[in-house]
Amino acid sequence: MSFKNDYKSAFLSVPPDAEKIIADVHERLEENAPLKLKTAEKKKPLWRVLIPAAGAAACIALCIIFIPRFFGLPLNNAGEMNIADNNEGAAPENFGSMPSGNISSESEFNLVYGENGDITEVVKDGRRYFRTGTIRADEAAGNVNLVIHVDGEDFANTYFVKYRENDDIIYVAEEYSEWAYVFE
Amino acid sequence: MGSSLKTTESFDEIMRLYIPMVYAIALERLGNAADAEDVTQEVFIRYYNADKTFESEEHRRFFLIRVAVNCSNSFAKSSWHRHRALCDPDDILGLLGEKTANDETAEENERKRAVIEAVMKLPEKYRTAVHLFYFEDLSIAQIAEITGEKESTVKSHLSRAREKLKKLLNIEEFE
Repeated sequence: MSFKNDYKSAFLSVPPDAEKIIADVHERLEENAPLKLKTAEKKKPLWRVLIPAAGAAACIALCIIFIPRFFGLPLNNAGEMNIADNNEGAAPENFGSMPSGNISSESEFNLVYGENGDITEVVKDGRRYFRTGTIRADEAAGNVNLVIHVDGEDFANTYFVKYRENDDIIYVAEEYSEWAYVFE
Repeated sequence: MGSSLKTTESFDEIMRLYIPMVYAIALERLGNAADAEDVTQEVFIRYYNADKTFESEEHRRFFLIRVAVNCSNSFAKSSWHRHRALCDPDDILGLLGEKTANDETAEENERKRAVIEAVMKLPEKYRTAVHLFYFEDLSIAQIAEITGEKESTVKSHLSRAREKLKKLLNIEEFE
């Protein structure tokens, strides 16, 4: 069996209740009623929407407060160059709280996330690059060298990477983000 | 000669003919039967209110596909859908688990589940292209017209989707 046959067969295995849908459509047309939600009784109470929204707003506020701290950070604890000397390709031990994801592109990238969900390291072709700061994405834009797509278990995302001719990474910016991470 | 729905009988006939197609598009996009039925209702309400005249049956089909894709995307972006629990007892994989045909082996059912599970892991923009290409048998040009994207973009989405599906399904050739 091919993918196409399996895919078609799967969807054909779960047909709709056509007569019910037809009846609902006629009822709505007669009453000029709004959408008749089957799931209306499952709607969440307002507080279950407001509290997560308030939590998200608080996280954004904390990020805004702490982002300026990232400017001019020392490159690493040992004060060594932020571009790793070793090219052994060993991955960092701690990948943070979010999955790193492997990116399907010409090069091997691994993104290392901090606890805030921001990118703290990039491992590219075995070399490690540590974030030195952030700038506005529109300042980093233009001359983007590579668009990479990260696919983790539960998410997919697109990043723009700018790097030098010697392949050193300069910036990494997440699609739609106002900020870009600096790695030089 | 253009055709338009004018009688209750013809509208019902059109719904019976196209509900499976519209429902499948919505189910693929939203992942659960309840939302897919809601969107299917909405598509045919819009179809009825539009009261368009179609040059051919193919024209009518493309119109319904386009409305189904747009309604599904709007529904998926709505606050309600984004805040609902991700695990739902009537989601598509659950439906597949319930409905094994009599002459279907467990292996065939498992393969279908694996395919759907893999497709549901794709980014939404890839999934729409995959569904319209492999389920509706539309061409890249037709998909581009329906989704409003460039043909090169649709090709890229399909190509990347195939690459990811090969890895997820552990297959070498794709057909």
